[in-house]
Formats: sequence, C-alpha cells, structure tokens
Amino acid sequence: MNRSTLILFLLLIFLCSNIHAQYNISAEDNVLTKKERDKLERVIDYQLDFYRKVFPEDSIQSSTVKLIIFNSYTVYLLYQKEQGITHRLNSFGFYSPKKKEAVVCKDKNKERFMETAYHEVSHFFTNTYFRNIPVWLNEGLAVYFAKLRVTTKKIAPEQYRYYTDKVKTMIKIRDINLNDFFTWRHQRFAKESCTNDSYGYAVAYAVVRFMIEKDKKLFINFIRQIKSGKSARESFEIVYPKGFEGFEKDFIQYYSKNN
Amino acid sequence: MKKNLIFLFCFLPLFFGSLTAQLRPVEIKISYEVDGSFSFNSLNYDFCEYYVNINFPEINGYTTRGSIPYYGTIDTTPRKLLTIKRLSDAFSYGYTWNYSYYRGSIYVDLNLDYLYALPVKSGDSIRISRSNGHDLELVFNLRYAGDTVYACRSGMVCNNNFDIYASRVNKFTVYHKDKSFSEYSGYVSALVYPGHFVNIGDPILLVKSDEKGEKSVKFKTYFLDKNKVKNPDTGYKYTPFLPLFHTVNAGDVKPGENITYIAGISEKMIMQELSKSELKKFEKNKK
Repeated sequence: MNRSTLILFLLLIFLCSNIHAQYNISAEDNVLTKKERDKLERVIDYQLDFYRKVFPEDSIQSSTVKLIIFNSYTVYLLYQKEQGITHRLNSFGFYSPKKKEAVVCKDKNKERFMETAYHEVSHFFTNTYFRNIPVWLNEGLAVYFAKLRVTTKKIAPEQYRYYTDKVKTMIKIRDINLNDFFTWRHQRFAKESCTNDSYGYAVAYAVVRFMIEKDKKLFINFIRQIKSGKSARESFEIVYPKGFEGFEKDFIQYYSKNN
Repeated sequence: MKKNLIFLFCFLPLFFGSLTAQLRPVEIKISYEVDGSFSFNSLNYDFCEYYVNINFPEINGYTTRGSIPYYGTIDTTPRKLLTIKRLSDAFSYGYTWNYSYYRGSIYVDLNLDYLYALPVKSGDSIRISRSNGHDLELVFNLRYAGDTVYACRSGMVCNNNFDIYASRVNKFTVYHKDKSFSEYSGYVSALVYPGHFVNIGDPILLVKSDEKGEKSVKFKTYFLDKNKVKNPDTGYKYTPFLPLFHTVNAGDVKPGENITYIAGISEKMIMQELSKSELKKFEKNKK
C-alpha cells in the first residue's frame, strides 16, 4: 500500500467515524460503551431515515438530534424535576420539550437501557416533526422503534410478543374499539394503560406494526395526513383502501391469524 | 380429666393439621406400577382446574405412554397423567424431571354475555371506580349499602390458603363455569369457605366502614391466557376483562366512574349457566 492510498484509507475511516458521531449524544461519566454508542447511532440513523422518507421536505439536521444519558438515577431524577416533568414509577427516560432533547437513565435500568434509549429517540423525532401528535401514534411508533434488533449486519424490527398477544386476546374477547381508541387523549391513554395491563401501548404498537408491515408507503401517507391536522379516522378514509372500515377489518383479520 | 386429655391428644394433631397451610395447590407424585413402569399422578388440593406442564430435561432408556413434555389441564380428581417404562435393552437409563402449573385452564370459553350482579342488595345503590392496580380492578363503593357483599357471579370458591399463594391471602377467589375467575379483596371476613359453590346474589363477604365512614370492596375478573402461557418471555399469565353488570337504572353496562348504579337481580340472571336439571329444580321451586 503506497502512501497516498494509506492517507485515503485513513481519511475514509475518519469520515465514516464522523458520520456515526454526528449526533449530539452526551453520556454522563462515559457511561456508554463503544458497542452501545455504535448501536445507538445506527438506530438513530434508522429512525432518521424513516422520518426523512415521511417528511422529505422538512428534513432535520443530524446535529439537532440530542440525547442525554445519565449514569446516576438520583442525578437523572433531579434533571427530570428541573425540566418540569412528572416522574412516573419505573420510568427511565423522557423527552424534554423545554430543552428539545431525549433523556435516558442507565442506572437501575441496565437490561432495558438500549430499548429505553431507542424509545426516547423516537419521541425526540415525533416531537420535532409534529406540533401535536396523537398520543397513540406517538407511543405506537416509540414502542415499534424500541424493539429494533441491531446486529452487525442489519437492523430489523422485532415483534413485541407480549403486546401482540394481548391484542389477539382482546380481539377474541371483543374488548377492542379502534374508532374510540383513536380519539383518546393523554389522560385516558395513560389511565387505560396503567389500569388495564398496558392496553393503550399494546393497541398503539399493534396498529403501527400492522401498517408498516402491510404497506410502508401507505403508512407514510397516513402520517402525513395526521400531521396536516386530520383525525385518524379521516386519515384512514383518505389513504386506506375501503377507508376506516377496511382498515379495521384487515387489522382484526391480521391479528386473528396468528401474526 | 384423663378422658379429656386423651380426647385432646387425639384431636390436637387434626386441629393443627387444618391450620397449617399446604405448600402448593398441585403436586405431581410418582408411583411404581405393577408392570414396572412409573406413573406421574396429579393431586389438586384446590377447587378449580390447573394447567400443568411436566418437563423431562433429560431422559434416556425409557419409553413413554403419553407425549412428553406433558401439557394438560387437571381437575380436582387425582389422575394418572403420564407413564414411563424402562426399555429392557437400554445400555444406560435415567431421567430428570420437574413440573410447573398455573391456576385455571387455557381452554377458556369466555361467556361475554354473562350478566354480573352488583355486589349489594337489590335496590341499594353503588358507585364504582378503578383502582390503581394494573389489572382492571374495580372498587365498589358501598357507602350507601349494607355491610354484606353478595356474589357477582356463580362459581366455586377456590382455596387461597397455600404457602405459595401468600399474595392471595385475604382474597376471595371464585372459579366460574367458563373457566374465568373473579376475585374480591379488601373485606373483613368471608361467609363462605373454599370448596363451596356460590350462586349469583348469595351473601359471601362482610365489609366494615373505616374512620371516614367509607366502605368498599375491590373486585376483578380474569382468566388464564393461552397466548401468555405459550410465550416463555411473559411473566404474568392472566388477562383481565371488564364484565357486563346488570343495573336497574342504567341497563346492562360496563361500569363507568362517577355514576350511581342501583342493584337488582332478575330471574334471567339467576338462570344463567344453570344445567337442565338445575333449571327444572328452579322452576319447580318457583311454583
């Protein structure tokens, strides 16, 4: 290898490392391992790529993606309080609208820390792109992106079986009313999720997963309708073959068939 | 005096025996059969069905009658579930085994049209709210009702007096015909004991007012969820559901908060889930 090839090679490595280091990720006490940082950056790439497809005209700069990782639970709680966010039990991440950043705590959450980080990064994107996103879509996307499986070769969504199983059971016991569900505001969504075995999260995730697996382009179109201020029902009427009823029928059929 | 002492000596062990809780509701015991095989037999000390799994992490030199691992529902009658027999030509033989179980049956046939009764006397009023629990637990506010709680649905009273059911102490669990459960908590004493069948509207529990004069009992309904049982990553295997309650003033409803409901039991409700012979008896008694 001659000198110029070597320089070119080193330059290429530098550029590649810079591509992955373009996000604003700050980790307290260097709590993030190299492997974790690499995975995290790849997942941010993946999510950013998704939103660039949804809103190509409104693409955000990589450098604005901001994620803060805390190593100490106490410091994390203090920071959360500073942001005026109410702490929920067993919650290790949040999005701060005040600072426009995703915040995650690794302390006491080592096993699910990466999942929490992917989840909060999704909230960063949805809060950046939307002025007022419906709670079900916000949480559905966050759960979907939180379940990404990252290997050295690829990133692929993994099924959140607990939630899909729950939806299957709910369909079986006729305990699902999508028309009503899409109108839920934050308070109702939180209450139904807390007092009924994660009801809201399970249905929200199941809808997002179904739409992405059925037809990604159709889902992108659906999200654009929602951003333009249309309700979920109106958006389905516009983008989905046979409208809302067609969607409801296909959704129930999809999860009744062991998916 | 001597006679009394003998009496005490004879009955004391029985008394302590009944006070000591059994460790587990289900046991699988191995018996040696006359043909040289080993049978795995179920013993169910509860009053409802259980879903049982018998695993054999290692098994060499044995033939089995019945498929392994074993999965099945057991009722309260002791039953032979599986038999293994040593192969006569086996060079080496041996096995390790373990078992697990869940209360209930995965073959639930939920009767979603069943009308539950409000747990107060007909004509009394009640308010219902949701507790902070994660499993659709309702809080029946009995401020304007008596101290007695009446059964919301017919079924067999289960036994929660097992060491491993520490979390179920002071809970009153009823197993229904469709294999779902209802569970009451927050009461002071039970009027009916495990192993008894209660009919809808039967008095079952007593409650007491607190210092503020508030009186309530908590209630939830759930079933063993096949989907969760089949998923090894899931911890809690039950799914809660909200039943339909019959009210005099608002019809048959899934209860909402901040609404006062008036209780009432119709004949149709009593007749729900009665067998043909029970229906006949019911009609006869009416006359």
